[in-house]
Amino acid sequence: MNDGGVICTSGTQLVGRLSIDPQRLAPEIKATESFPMDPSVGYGVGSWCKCLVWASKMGPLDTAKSGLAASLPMLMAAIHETFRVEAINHLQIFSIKGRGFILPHRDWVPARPLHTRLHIPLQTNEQCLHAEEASVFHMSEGEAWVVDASLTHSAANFSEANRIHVVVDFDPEVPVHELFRVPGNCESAPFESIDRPKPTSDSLDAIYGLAEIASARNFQRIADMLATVHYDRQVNCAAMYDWLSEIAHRSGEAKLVDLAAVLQRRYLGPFDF
Amino acid sequence: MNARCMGVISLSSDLLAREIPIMESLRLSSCDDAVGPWIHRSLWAGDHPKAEPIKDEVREQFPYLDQVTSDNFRTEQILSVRIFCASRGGYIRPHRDWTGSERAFTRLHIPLQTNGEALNSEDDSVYHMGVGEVWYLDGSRPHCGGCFHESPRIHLILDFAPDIPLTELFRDSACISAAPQPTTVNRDPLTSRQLEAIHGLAGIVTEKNLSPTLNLLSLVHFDRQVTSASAYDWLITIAGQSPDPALLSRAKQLKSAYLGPGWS
Repeated sequence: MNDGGVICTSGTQLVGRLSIDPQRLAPEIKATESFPMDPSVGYGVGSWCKCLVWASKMGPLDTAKSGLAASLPMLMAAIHETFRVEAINHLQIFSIKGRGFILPHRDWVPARPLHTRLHIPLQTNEQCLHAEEASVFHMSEGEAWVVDASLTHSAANFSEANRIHVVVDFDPEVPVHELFRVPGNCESAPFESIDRPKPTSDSLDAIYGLAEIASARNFQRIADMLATVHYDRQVNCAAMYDWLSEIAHRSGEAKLVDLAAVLQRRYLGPFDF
Repeated sequence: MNARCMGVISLSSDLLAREIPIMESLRLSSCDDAVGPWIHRSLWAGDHPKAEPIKDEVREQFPYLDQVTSDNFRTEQILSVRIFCASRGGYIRPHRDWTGSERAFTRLHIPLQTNGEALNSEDDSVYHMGVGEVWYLDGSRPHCGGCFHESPRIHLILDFAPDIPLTELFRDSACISAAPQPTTVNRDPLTSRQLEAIHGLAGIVTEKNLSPTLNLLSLVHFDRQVTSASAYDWLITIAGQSPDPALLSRAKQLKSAYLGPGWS
């Protein structure tokens, strides 16, 4: 915590690597397919789902001999070797089994970070993308990325192959370099956003034209579709909520205006926690 | 519309009330062709004529559903029994269950819990099934179903061998009372401005959002007087305006996959 009492998160960046042999990890990746996955309905679209593997309340991670963590011995060993496991709050698997994505959202506000979140792709390909505000980038297998979940972000798999990340949530009060067992192993590499063309007037006409067919029955599906536009166009991923609001207003339906506000609040906050 | 309500069977609201909360709490399976919360669970399975109740802890929690099935229907002709739950905009994309001239099965839907936003469609008709009503659905026609309410819609779905006359699916004629007047949903025609807005999606369509675009278009027929199959034709028109030729090919593949080759 800093002097002003506000915990500051660092920006999203590549901070290190997990030393794992992808071939030897294959049986453990296979094992995740039988995990009880939560589809996070409303947030995830298509096959996006997640599963809690371990939480600090379950006891020390290095003695996790039962439960889902026990079926990932090599991954757990690599995490134990690389990170200060005593600072880990949760460990989850995020899976997109073929095409799917999660809507742009924030997990917490900057003033009250719940965790320092690391994403480590275990299985991925170049059609698996992450977005943060106006940036779009790809995380490669074995890389450890701090993701600033206080900023609006989203993730997608536009391929038919599976994308599996292990997501490690650490105590937010521990500085990032101290999350590593050997602090010198923490690197700091800024990411380069994928270039996309700016939206054209035709793009915006297409988006706002949805006011003609928008209804309470299809509004979530409009949101889903708009949630992919920033992967092709140079816009902030949060723009979809402004578009939804404009579509709702243009439709003249008060119910849709309310729905747009509900969706924006649900995904971007402010949050009650 | 070929789908029709064949009548109403007697359901005990007290006994259903014991089992519906269990259904709502189950971790059910999702379906590849579904969008949003549209999930199902098999209760009977096997190869005809050997379909039988699945012997597991899940099905054993539903003795009343077993009773409803065996008291009312000729279980020896059953191919499968499932529960389908949908809520919060969950629906299945417009599709046909088979494409040839031979029926693959005879499917009956029996709503156990529903609400006014639980809707089904066949061609350009949209209708609502009431609790206890036994509906025959024609899987050879483009059809779709979903629930646009927070409260789950739960249907018991029975598939029978295809060659049995509909009237012989019931254990006896006393099982079923007269069919009520079907609840069909009137919608306004699609306007030219709306069609223009749909075709205007060419301005943002890409390989990344083709599938979400179809998910949106598939719902238009619940609000407007068009057939559910229109979604695929619109998608083809939209994709055809894209500079990426792969999109048009993909849109045509989607239409063929859901409606069968050659459907027009």
